[in-house]
Amino acid sequence: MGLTSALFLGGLLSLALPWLLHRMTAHDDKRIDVSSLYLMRPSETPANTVKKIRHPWLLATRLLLLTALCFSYAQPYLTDLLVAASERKPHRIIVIDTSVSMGAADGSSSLDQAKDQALDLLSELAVGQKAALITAATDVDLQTGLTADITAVRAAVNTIQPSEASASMSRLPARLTTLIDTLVAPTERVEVHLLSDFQASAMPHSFNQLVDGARWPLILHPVRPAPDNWGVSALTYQRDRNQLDVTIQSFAAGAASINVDLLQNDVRTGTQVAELQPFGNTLLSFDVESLRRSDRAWTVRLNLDDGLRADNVRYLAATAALGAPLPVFAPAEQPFTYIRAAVSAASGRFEPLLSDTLDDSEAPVLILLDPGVLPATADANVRRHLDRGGAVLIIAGEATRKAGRIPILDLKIAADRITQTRRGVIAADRTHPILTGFDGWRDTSVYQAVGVEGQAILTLDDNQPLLAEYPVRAGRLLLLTTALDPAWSNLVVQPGFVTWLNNTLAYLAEDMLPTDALVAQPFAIPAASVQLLDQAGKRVLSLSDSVGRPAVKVRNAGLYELRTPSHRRLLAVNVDPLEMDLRRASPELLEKWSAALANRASWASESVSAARPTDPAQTRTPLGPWLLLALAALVIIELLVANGGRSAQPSRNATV
Amino acid sequence: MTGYARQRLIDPKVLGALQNLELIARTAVEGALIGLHRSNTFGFSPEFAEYRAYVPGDDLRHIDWNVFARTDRTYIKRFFGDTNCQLIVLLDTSASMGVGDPALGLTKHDYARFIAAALVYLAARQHDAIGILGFNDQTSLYRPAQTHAASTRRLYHDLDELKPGGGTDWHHALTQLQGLATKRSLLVLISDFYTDIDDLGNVLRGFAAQGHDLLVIHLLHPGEKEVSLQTGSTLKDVETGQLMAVSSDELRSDYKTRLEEHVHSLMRSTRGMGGHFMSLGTDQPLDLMLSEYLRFRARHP
Repeated sequence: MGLTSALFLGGLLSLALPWLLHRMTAHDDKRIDVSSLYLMRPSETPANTVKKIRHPWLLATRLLLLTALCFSYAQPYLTDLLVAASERKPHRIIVIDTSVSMGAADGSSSLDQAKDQALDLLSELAVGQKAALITAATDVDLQTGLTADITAVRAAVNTIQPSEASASMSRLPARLTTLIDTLVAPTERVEVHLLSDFQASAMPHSFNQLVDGARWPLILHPVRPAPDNWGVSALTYQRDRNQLDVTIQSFAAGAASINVDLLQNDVRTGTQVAELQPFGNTLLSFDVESLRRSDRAWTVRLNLDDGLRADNVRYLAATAALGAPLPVFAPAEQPFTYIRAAVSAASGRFEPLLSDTLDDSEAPVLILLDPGVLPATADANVRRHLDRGGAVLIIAGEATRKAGRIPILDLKIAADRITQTRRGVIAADRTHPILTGFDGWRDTSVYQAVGVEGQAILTLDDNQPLLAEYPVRAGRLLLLTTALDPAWSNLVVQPGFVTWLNNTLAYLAEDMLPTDALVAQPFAIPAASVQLLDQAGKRVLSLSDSVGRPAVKVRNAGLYELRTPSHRRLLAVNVDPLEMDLRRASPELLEKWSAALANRASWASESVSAARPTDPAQTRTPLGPWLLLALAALVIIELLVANGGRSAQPSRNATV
Repeated sequence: MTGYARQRLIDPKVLGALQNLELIARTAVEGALIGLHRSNTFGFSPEFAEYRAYVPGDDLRHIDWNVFARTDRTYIKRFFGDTNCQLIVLLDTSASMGVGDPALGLTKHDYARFIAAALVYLAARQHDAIGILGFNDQTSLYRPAQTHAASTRRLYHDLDELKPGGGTDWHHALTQLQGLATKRSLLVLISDFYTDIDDLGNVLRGFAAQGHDLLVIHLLHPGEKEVSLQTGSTLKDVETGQLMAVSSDELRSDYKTRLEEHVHSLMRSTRGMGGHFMSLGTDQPLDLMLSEYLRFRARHP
């Protein structure tokens, strides 16, 4: 009979009997906690008579007696959990480092050695032992779940390919714990085997990050020491001198002489010889053409066959030169002064120029400052600019209000919504790139604004937009509904005005698109819609990755092209320079790390680990005899307590 | 953010679920301040100090563009950082403050800590020095007024650690307060004030006479205003353990009258010495208190 037996459960119902008998003479005694009785007055006629359950000790004894009786019928037993669990061998989680440095080859590559070691570990497993395979570089990825099908795990080991991602041992045990916790049942034991080259450059500054969050025993398996290596660690375009500076780093004990090629569009445009010193840096400079209006990308390649080839190539993309013209249509002079001052102080990226016709076909952004009724030529040029995917910023003002209509948008200004009361910003779309680093909207006061409908980025407290964005044809248009005039709002005298204008122009010119990234490291693309193409013209991003200002990762080094509806930007993706240094971490550190984690408990939960012992009958300890002893003791106590109550009865009667 | 969403954020029940006192303070204050944009009464403009020529590396946000527009030269506008104002919060942490409305899930102690944290956050934002004295029948927290960011973080931690318990000894607390309020200060008293108002007023009058400004915040939870009692119940004072049988009729009529008289008496006494009085329920949004405090702060720079 078990604890779910009907007889046992029915027997438990008998516990209600003594409780009801004792309860018959009892009354509720409700006490309510109050902060203070300072303002309370006692009732003159107390209506409450407090009565308690009679003989509570006797009741407790009787309840225990019945409970023990019921349990004894259930024939309970204790299982020796730990003994059963400790007899089982732990499963093995194989973790293989697949970072760039594991591609280093001196004969066979480090990754091949790690795979051989992993296969050896798998061949040692006994029947019933399970294994799982995880790869670790920038991300920790599960290759096979915990399975007894060792053949499948071996196949997975053989298919592992080197990646171009970088490795970091910082918090690796914690990340592994998070993943392994999802694989292991509470009753299972595991140990983790980490196979890596254990680069010194991948080690964190703090030892705690190697052990924090680790819950499983970790056994380290270093692959053999790394060969000599050279690589390109940095490329820098010196805009003022039209030079490309190349930094080459040596991680070899001997000097070397290496040919260095500069390529543009896969065509070699220069070659130099670098004389490399042991464990030193060498700087080369290539003369390149001046960049004015178009972006450009270069590739630098070392012509040698060293330990690690992935770092012999490095890419660089550079944006067009400063001082791109920024045509501004401004009938009045004062707002243009604000624009000119703010733009020139911010970055020098743009050069504001007054234009009545706005006919610059290459300018990325046009600004209309309180345009009123736009002349026909300018109107046509702005529409053509938007057709090409360009961007426009319109800032309203007195002339626009009088015209009663926002040009280009052909939006009618609601006459009943032109108010002249002071208002503040009540809501802001803080995810919008324009508002990055600009929180001056909190203190912005608007005295006059034109009321229109639109997708608001900043909303005034009468629910009118202060700043709104409109998709127009293939381009974008931003509308500021107040003027650059202190009589209209205090925006222009806000300290954050420059930041806001700079962000706005960068956003409209899509100047926020990145030009460089590291393999497998996420980077943000602040554009509503984007596509990333490799050099072969193949799409890299999935549909879900390409909309809504995504943060994306690129898995291979190379030159890419970012495309938005209106712009193209070259993107250089390189391997992490930290991977170039193939030297292993000090043996003392690895020993200390290994010692710190080797003795961790190997099962998920000691208390539950042997819920299902291999031979249940051998690990059971029956509790029946102990319950009989407890029953006997309780009977004696019950008799004593009950007789004690009776012996008091005659004396009370005697006084009556 | 819509008005409804703002109101939700400063609802004490919602704040109580945040579990992070600094976040509670930030949420409540920022929520309340955004609400204040409608009004032109409030502002936090620091005092202007001087102009200085712009040098590379200066924050561009501090350039005065009006001057640039007039002169074609860039100047940095500089401000005084400190306002020399000292704010001292006297926080009742006795056992009576640990009582709350079960339906609300919030005790008076929790609500008082939210207020104190919001005041700490506001003071830090305005570069005011802030000190806190927590008391029951002893001193449970004693932090002299300071302005460092580190001391602000420590105050959040101290407030988080405060637990209600013990009796209430106002004379002991106000004696300790003498040591804290060494210069002219804004004194904010947060309590349920179950004490003799005349006695308390006599002591507080001394502080008012020394030039300190008083803001008295009286806290009650909804169950204290409307005590509902079943027949056969006994009331127990959580501070003294004293039991008292009270009739439900008495609670419905006489107790409410006495409570109103007690609150009026406290209000008259506070206003009589030039102070400001607020009576709050723990079900009321925090922005009410913050708005009152900002008005009080604006009148006592």
